[in-house]
Amino acid sequence: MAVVLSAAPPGALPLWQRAWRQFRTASILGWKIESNWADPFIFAIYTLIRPLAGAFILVFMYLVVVEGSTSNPYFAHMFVGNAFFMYVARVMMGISYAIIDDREHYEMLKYIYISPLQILLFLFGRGMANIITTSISVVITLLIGIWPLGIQLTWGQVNWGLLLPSFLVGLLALIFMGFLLAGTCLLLARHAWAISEGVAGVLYLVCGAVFPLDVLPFWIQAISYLFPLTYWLELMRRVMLGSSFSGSLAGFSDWGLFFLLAGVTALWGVASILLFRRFDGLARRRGLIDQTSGY
Amino acid sequence: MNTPTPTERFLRAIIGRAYPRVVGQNRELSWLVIDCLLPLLGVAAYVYIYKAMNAAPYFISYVVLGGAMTAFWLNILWSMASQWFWEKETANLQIYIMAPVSPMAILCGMGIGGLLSTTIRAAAVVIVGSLLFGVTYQVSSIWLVIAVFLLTLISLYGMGMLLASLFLMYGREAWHMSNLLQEPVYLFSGFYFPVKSLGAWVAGAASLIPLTLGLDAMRQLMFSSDPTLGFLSPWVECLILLALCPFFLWLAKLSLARMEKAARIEGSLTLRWQ
Repeated sequence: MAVVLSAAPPGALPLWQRAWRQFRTASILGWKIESNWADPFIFAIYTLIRPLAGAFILVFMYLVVVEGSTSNPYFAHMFVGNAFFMYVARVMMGISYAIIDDREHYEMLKYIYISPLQILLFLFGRGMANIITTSISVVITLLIGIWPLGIQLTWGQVNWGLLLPSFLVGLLALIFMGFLLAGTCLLLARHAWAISEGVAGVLYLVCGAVFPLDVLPFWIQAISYLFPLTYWLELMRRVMLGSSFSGSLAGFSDWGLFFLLAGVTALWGVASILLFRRFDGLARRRGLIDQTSGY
Repeated sequence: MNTPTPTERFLRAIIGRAYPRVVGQNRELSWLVIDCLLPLLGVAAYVYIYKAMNAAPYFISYVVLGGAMTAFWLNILWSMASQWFWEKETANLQIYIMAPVSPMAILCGMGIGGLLSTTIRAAAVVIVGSLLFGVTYQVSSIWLVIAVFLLTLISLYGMGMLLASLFLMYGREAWHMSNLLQEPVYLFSGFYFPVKSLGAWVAGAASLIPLTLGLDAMRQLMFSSDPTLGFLSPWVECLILLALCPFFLWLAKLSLARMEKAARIEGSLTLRWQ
């Protein structure tokens, strides 16, 4: 008698529904871990104070040198770039730190691995809480930039048609980079926690988050073109402020820069998923999924 | 066998707790690379912000020194303030409390051990940062610089001992508290710009954090910059730091006694995940 093996047991949910359920559960879990240590008011303060302090360091650095008004377009570019850069550390860390947290702290990663879920979907879900909280921080930072700091950002000057697609593609790039970092964290014990912060530090420097790329040495500029975030931050400034910040990217039209961003993001997407699978396989073979190192 | 005197026991406990910090650092030298590299990245980014604004060269010197001093603040937050929370999580804390030594001695050992390795990191940031960005020094009084530096560290680690007992009471919020206190202290202590630009009231309030006055005094004493950028005279700042040292040590002792009493009454020292 022939036996027919089906991919899913009878009565199982369709693939998209299972994927949605995994993503939703991981997102809720991520949110609980992020937020349930404090009451909502304290959590709101916690979410806002750190990024606002970072933004105000730039404000005072600017004021002490320029001794002028913050309505200058240069300041606006610096401030908006810094606001959107908040996503970089938080989203990448939200995804990659889930590995360290679940493996070392909660010691649950082994159970997650043996459960029938897609690990990348789970990690994306875990990063979702950070995307939400960072979005609130970014919006409030931008509002503070408009008032009381007086950044010239008006409703009419924003390129709304390009804002959403650029924002989403940039976010996707961050998620891919988070996957790559998460894969790296699977193989590391002692330095895993420093990886996200270190990479965010490198990107803050090379992607021209708060200064034009042109001030960087030539060889660092060459490195910066490899990262989608360079194009993303420039594009977000352009769609919001209507002008270019980096002279070296000024030759691209807004849509040209968008397609460049999309292309580089796609390459990063393929590379990060392939590398994650490779690192994941190595971690399984070396028995690293349930390692605890006390770090 | 001779029973050690209380003073001997206190000193032995200091050495005993400092030892693993110093030796641990030497065993894991890759930490040194990470701990020197991460602050350097931040320093480089802030230097380029000033360069992009065509700022006077002394602002770059300010950033290099401020970036080096971040190592001490991070050590206070993550290796002093949060440390007892981690020790509780790994079940070491009850052993410390049971040991016939003062918790102050354990915290002192932790501070001294951390101080040695952190000073190496901070020195590396100053040396590499100065070479990379061409920082020039014009030290007006080397003895005053040394005095300010030492007083800053003593009062700062006294503050770290105080935070250690406070953070233990916060339980699992300790991690978040450490995270929360990072950038705001960089802002209010003027790590990357002169603290005077925050205004007299804010800078005055921020002077409770020893790094605020220490950084301001060292910048005035080490670099040839605009004299109007200093908050207070370096001598006054030195005297305030001198007063802050016993103040924080006394507060730490008080807070530790309170924490220990509360933990004994509530029996919460061995409870993880709280």
